[in-house]
Amino acid sequence: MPDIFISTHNNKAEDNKSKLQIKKIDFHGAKPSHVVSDDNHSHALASFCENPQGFSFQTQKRDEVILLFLRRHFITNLPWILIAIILSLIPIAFIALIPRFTLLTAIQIPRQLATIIILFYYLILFSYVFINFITWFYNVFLVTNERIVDIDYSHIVVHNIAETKVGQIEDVNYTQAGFIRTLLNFGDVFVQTAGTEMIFEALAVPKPREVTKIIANLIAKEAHAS
Amino acid sequence: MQVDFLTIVQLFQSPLFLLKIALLVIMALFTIFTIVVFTQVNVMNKIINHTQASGILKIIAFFNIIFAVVLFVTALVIL
Repeated sequence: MPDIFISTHNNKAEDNKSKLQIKKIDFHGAKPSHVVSDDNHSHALASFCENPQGFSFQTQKRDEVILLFLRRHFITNLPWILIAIILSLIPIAFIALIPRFTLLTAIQIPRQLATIIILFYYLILFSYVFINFITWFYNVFLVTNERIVDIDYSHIVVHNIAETKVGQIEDVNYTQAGFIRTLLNFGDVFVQTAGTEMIFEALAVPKPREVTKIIANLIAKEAHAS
Repeated sequence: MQVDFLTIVQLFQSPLFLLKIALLVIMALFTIFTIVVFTQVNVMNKIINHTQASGILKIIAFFNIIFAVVLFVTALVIL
């Protein structure tokens, strides 16, 4: 049966108790768990990070603050992760299937040579995983209070760094198309600059609408200041 | 001990021997490649510095070289 009359005394007591707990938390200087925003985390694998801590870039000025740190969504790594898993299972499957094929058993490969080949195979596989990971890790799009920095890293030996001042940005827009992109909320952000008509691309980044909003606010603030 | 020219020719006609040579050459090239990867990781760490991950990636790249070198030397000795 539902309660109709509830004494307010108990509620007040609970309220006071919770206030005391909050005061206690403040006194110790720790934040309650709900205050910590997911967007502010700056762990190594973060794809979207507002005001990141522990990040810096080479050409960063002393008074320059990183407002937004972006990378491709982690789900974009799924294809190479799946390929790596399948490739790691191939030697195991091969060893298991050898006795079934008479042709393979006829080829006499010394045990030592076979061991070296398998170890080398797994070393190449490890390198494949590592290279794909660092390609994702070092492809970064940064928004600071002064400029936009796009760091592209691909094919091991290619890296390209492009930057533009906030005052030179003319337009910012985003595209979010497709089922998975809508489901996981990630898309492409395009920043068009004046002069050379260069377009900065942040591809497959999480929360593209928020990114666009943050950059647009920055442009408005810059225009207002000047 | 004199090595006969005919014996060397016969050795090169053996598919297993050619396989070993090919494997050693590929391993040597791969070792050079891991050094390039390590250099690139260092360069990228200078461009983007993340206090937590930069050191770890450097260590992984370094161990990649170590494993490649160890495997190459082992293959050279065993094969």
